[in-house]
Amino acid sequence: MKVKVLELEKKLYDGEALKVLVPAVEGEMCLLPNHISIVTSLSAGRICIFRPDSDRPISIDVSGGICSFANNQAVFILE
Amino acid sequence: MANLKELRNKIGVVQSIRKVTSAMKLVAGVKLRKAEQKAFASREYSSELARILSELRSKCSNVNNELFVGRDEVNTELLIVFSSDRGLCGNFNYMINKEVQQILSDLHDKGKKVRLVCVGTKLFDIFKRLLNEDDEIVSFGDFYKGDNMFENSRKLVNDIIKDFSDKTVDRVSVIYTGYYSAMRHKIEQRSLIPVIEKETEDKTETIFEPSMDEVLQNVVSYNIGIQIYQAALDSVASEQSSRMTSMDNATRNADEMLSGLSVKYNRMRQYGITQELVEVISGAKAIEEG
Repeated sequence: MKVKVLELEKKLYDGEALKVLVPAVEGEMCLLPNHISIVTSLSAGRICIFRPDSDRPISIDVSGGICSFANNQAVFILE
Repeated sequence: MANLKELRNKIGVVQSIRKVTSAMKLVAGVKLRKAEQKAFASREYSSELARILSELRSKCSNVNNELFVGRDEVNTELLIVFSSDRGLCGNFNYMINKEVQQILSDLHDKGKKVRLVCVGTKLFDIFKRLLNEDDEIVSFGDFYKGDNMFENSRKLVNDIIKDFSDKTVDRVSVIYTGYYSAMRHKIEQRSLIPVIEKETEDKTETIFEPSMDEVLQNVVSYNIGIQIYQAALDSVASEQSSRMTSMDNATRNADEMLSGLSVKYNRMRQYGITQELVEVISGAKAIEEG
């Protein structure tokens, strides 16, 4: 699945991922490929992106925003 | 030789105008580079956000959030128009004015009331004359000043949401000059309330967390702010690029004028010298013969 993490003036991540941990408002959740479409607000926390070509996940600290997952593509719009 | 002096003055004036226009061109060029960078940097962010929303709009049919789906009955339309604070930028303001005139006359024909927020002071008086008696116009001065555009956009959003929930306005759109490259700008009108549908093949159900209404309310109002901010960035970049082009043209015109004037000046000076020479020679000849 594809993951895009966007900040207002910067693209923080754009690429493939095996799974993503998302700090959603109702608790942390894990997005895997073929997850059902979901739109959720983010709370303060950390997004962890597990990449296919590396063992070490990328983590991005966020203070808020939204996450939308549809068509095997996750887009994070950070505030 | 009064005429010669006049010409010399004229050349001086054209030269100083040329200095001003070429300096303005340089300044506009620097500002354009900055503005362009900013406009492009947030372009993906704002368009992704808009895309997510419009896809949701076509997927979710059972939503009754008014900010998202709009009202059935539209009496008053709110237009946010981005013009510039300053002049000398070619046809930038003229193009916006033309587009807004068109939109206004369409709305008036349909019997709608208009509330117009004019960002940038340049076109305020012109718009004022275009409006009907029961229309309203508000000026948002100093929008572009300093680095406050983001805060100003937020302020504007609060007013818009308040107006919308008070039912003073029923539909909101923004009119601005989209910036694509230094040579390509286009006037665009984008609807903020309601969110416009976009075709998507994916019709699967979507889960909302914490709840559909809460998420949409937040995202839509956030989106309005971002779209306004992006419109302002585009507008600033277009203004600077338009100014740069027109000042470049002005400088070139001044150059052309200067070369014409200096040819004329030299010819006139030479004419004077020849005239004097002829007088001296014919005088000398007269003395010789006498």
